[in-house]
Amino acid sequence: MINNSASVGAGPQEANNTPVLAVVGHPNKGKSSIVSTLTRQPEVAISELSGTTTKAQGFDFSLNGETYYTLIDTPGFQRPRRLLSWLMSQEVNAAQRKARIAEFVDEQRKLSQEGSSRFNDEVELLTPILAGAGIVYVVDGSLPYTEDLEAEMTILQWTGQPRMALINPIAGDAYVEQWQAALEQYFSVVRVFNPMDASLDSQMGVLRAFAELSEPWRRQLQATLTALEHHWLQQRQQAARRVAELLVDMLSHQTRLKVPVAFVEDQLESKLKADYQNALRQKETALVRQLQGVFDHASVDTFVDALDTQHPDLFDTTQWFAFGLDRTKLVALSASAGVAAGAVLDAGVGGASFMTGAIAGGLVSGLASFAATLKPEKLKFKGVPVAGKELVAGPSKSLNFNFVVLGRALDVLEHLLSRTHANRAVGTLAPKSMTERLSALSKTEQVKLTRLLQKSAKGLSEQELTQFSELILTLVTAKPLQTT
Amino acid sequence: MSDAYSREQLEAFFVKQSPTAGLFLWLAFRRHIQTTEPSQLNEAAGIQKGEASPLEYVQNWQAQQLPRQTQSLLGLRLLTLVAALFGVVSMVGVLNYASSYTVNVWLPLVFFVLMPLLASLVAVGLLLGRKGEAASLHSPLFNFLLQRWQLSDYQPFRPLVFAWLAWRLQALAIAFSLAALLTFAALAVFQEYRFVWSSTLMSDGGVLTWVMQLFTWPWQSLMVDIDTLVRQTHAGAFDSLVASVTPVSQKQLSAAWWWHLFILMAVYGVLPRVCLAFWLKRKVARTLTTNIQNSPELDQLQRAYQHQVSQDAVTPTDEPSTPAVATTLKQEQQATLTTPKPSLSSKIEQAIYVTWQLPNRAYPVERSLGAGQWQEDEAWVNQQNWTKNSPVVVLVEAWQTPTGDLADCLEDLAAAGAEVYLALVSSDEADGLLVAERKAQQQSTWQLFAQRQACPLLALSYAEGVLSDD
Repeated sequence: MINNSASVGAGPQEANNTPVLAVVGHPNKGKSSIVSTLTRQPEVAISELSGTTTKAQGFDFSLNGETYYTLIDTPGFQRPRRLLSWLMSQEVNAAQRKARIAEFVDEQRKLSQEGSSRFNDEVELLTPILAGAGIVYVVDGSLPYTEDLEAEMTILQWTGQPRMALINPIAGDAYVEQWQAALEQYFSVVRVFNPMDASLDSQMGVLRAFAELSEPWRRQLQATLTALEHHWLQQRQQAARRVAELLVDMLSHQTRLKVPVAFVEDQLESKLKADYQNALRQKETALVRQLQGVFDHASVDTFVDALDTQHPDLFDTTQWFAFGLDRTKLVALSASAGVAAGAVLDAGVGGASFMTGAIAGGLVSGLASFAATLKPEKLKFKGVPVAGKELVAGPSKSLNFNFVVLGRALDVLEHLLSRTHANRAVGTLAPKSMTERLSALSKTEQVKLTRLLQKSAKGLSEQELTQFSELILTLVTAKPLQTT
Repeated sequence: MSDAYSREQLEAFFVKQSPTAGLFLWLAFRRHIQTTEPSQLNEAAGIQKGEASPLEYVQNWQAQQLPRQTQSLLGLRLLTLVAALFGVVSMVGVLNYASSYTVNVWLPLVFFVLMPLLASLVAVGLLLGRKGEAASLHSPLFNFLLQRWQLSDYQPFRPLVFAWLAWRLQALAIAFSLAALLTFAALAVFQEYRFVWSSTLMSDGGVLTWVMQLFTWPWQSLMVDIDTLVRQTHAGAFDSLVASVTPVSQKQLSAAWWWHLFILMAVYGVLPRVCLAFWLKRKVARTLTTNIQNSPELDQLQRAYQHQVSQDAVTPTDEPSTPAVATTLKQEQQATLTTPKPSLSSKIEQAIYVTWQLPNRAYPVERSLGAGQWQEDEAWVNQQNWTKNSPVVVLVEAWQTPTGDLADCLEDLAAAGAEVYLALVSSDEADGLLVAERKAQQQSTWQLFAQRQACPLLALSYAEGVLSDD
């Protein structure tokens, strides 16, 4: 019985031209993973155990309320030899083969009602195909080709529906060539596709392959490719913007503490520092969660929990080298940013200052940054220890700390950008050095980024936020999305 | 799925509201999406029922927000009223501070023309220079207003809130200036004021004339000559009885001053603020629209409606709500493979060995089942003379996947009277196909299959042509 997505059973896909493809194959070959990745549905049940999927179920790939195509997740073939034997027990010509399959499905449905059918899985997977769905046959490229699968492929051939094969290299690509040679005899299109780490290009490649299957679907799938590309860009921009907003929120954060009596001031200082650090940790966690939401990976709850235990603490200064900049680069950038700020003043007085502003700005900013890097663990916050009758920690004045916060956010963003919806494993971040990241920016952009990080303590204007998010986007898009 | 809808419809829902209502509804909505657990959002979106659309969700959510929003807007109106009241009081004070209804023209000029104009110019400068926005972050005024209107939650959306605050401050200034202006007009209707000028430091009317000429320059030709007006006023400035001016001409003089001051207050006190407020209102609307268009929250809501969950999927989980089958699976997964020691060892030596779909393996077996026609397998099974002392061991490798076909075969063997064992064979060739992690998963799959078939699962190894249970 087909139990979801109206488009599966009655074949309305032919009426509205929305491509519908049934993802079929031997059990435990990653059919559900492929459905999850290609439809971006994070709640398709996936398990390493065979037989997780018990019902054929349609999953829509929708953007902006419009469904572009539907993939039907199906249970695997259980008794293909017996099914094929049944089909061949009566001599039929090529034109009658599909009807013969329909006959089998009807018969098994009746038996199922009586509780005596052994072919429930086959009925589930064949029903949408008989209703007009195209076929995506999935095999495991890390395991050798076996002849027993030929029964499955022959049955699919009998349906006469447009069909393609996807080789899923679940644990390697040792047998991909072997599979290609075999599958090309049964399928007009054969592609290698790993749903666990498929890049956008790879996903779009599969969609192009869908378009090759059926002429009526071609236009719709072309529109899908355009929409997907647009959506991908938009999602990246939104995420970068979100990172920019939340970083500014973190870096400009202030924690205040009332001092009731002067003698408790010392104790309150440490409490203030702890409160400030906790507030920033919470904001960073919120940033991660919100980014998960942006990319619809929010159901992977373990991601943030894992970050708590595996990711170095934000204030673990011994780990800052992994995210921040080395001293030379930091001082150079800081001095350049100072020069840029001073030059604005020089321009303001029509050059009458003879570049004094630029020189002074560069010297002051560079020296301040150099001094700050001598003892990076001594993070000082404005207003500590006393600001009237109130202790104030923050906003952050340490440029290195600002780079650390940025670097950590970029790691999370980059991880989520390359994560597919089939990947349910705990996220593991691979810290990338900020010096390496900055090489993606021109010198001018590096200075601009430094200035923006410095100014974040006071908050950024709308225009500056836009600039900041564009730089963030450049920092994460500098390398290819993912190798396929 | 729900009815057709689009992001544009959702965007329009927020944009079509008034800037203030739209802004805070939007910011509250962003906070709502950002702080709601995705699973709760999916649940709230009613994806299982598929009855509502994202637009309806937002409308329902707005209905819940309405009391809070109304309260906030009420506070805002109250503040505008206070500003207007302050304008009235200030003007009444300026016009009536001296007895005998004599008004020093410097006072309305400074308080209701020069200062508002200066404040407007400063505001324009700050807004154009974008310095005000940055400087405002930790400024007492900004923080006071954020707390006054309970906007601290919206700190992360500061540029939007700042644009709105700047606009509302103009609106407050307009309320103040307009109320003062109307008070000025109203009091003059019911009271005869005499406008004079006096100053300790400025002994002649030159400065006043210059100031008046400068400010009334656009409409100077339409009004009384400023020089004459100031001279005549100066003549009577220190004489409360205005001996040299007849009552009629004094009335004309006051009327002339009144008109000048009224127009000056309107043009320099109110008009720039109105223009500024209009510009800032548009800026708020524009910034809000851009923010709505660039924010991911609407997409997140849409996706919540597009989420689909696998039905009747067998998932190994120990969640309390999990169906019984899943709990069973969990327990089965935890079971470990058993090797046939020692009671089965002797039987195994006498057993008939067959493989399942492994025709090319060199295992010492009677037959490879599952490789040809199923009827051939069935015939072979039925031909054998099975006894309890000669069990059959079906050899499989961990990388294979158990299927219904194998289940049928095991069933056929059992039905024919054989004592059936399933054995996972470990060999260099077989083990090389799986990485360790996947091998464990596959073993779990076979364990589960064997338990479902009520068939003992053995672990055998194969080396140098010999199968053993080592």
